[in-house]
Amino acid sequence: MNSTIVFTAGANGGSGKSTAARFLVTYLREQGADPLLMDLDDENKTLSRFFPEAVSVEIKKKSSHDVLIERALSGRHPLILADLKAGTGREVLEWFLDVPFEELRESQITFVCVGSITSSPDSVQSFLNWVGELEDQVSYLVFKNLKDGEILPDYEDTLEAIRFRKELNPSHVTIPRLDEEYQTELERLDLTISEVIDSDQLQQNLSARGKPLGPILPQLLIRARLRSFQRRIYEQLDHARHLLLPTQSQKVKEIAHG
Amino acid sequence: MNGLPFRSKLAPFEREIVELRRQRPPVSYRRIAELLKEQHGVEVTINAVFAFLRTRRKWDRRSVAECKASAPRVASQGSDPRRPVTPMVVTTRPDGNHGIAPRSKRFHYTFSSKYNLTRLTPEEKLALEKRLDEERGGQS
Repeated sequence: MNSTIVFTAGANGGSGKSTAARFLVTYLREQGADPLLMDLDDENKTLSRFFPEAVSVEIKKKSSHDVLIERALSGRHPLILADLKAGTGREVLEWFLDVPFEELRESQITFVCVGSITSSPDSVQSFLNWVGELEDQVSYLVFKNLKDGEILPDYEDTLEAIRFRKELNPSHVTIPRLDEEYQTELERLDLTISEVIDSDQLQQNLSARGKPLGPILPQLLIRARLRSFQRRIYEQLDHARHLLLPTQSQKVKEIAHG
Repeated sequence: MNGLPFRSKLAPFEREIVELRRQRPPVSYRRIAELLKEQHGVEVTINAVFAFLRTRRKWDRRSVAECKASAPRVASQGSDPRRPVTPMVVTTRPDGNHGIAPRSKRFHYTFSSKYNLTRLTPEEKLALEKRLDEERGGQS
């Protein structure tokens, strides 16, 4: 069985963790993948808001996260994307420490930890807390979210973060700052950029899923800006394909090498 | 339906399985399934062993306290008195690894609720990056 579990590391609230998850979902779908979406953030349920098809898991206790491994072991889902609860609490992290990574690797089940870093030192510290425990048992994809500022000194210039980058070789995606007006509209209407771009204006300003687009987002120029914004992120995600879609990437390599 | 509640066929070996998992490094689920077959003729999947232990943990926490009190490796009589149980013996490699290489710690970080990152000057940053690159180059 081949399965990749992509999970968002429990960063502080507001660090862009679910934004990163949203881009991952729409990117993976554009690549032809059909990830199983699991919303383990039973407080905010952000992923379920944007993707109602996500499996919502009620976290009564730490072992509720077992469902992640069970789904992967079932062999029916080559790709699972799990949005975990925000916060620096150790409970979820402790659950991860029970996971038999080596044995799961034998069964071709691998993990990708998605971090989200902003200019807030807390976002870096809480992510490194996870890295300190998980180390090289998982691969890392770090989203540098510039929503609060373009300088991330605690990720770029600290001994701990430099060691992380050099020792564990993470992949990076930078999310530029998006116009606040667009961002607010997207959040208010539970829309992904992908939905806005793919929507048909003739259908009374409704997205393909039937969600209202509001007065601002359907405008031609704004949709063009959003398309360009998303393309910049997807281009960076292309460099992390080997992590997210290992089987596809391997096939491409094989074809390229004849 | 014979009216009896479901009872896992692993129940008689609960203590042994827990002991094997408590070793450091723990014996893999795969190896435990192999040992059960070799030594007791019980055929189970890896997932069954994983699920069995998870269920037991869910039921109660007693095994942790009991296992601390009992001697390591040699397990006591299984929980089914009808079935004689011989403890499973694991042949440990000289390096004590059961075939799995120990994980070397590559990244150290101690979390603190206070700011505990070490900001570097541009010169210090360059020097550190150079040193780490050299170390990595030396390893490959």
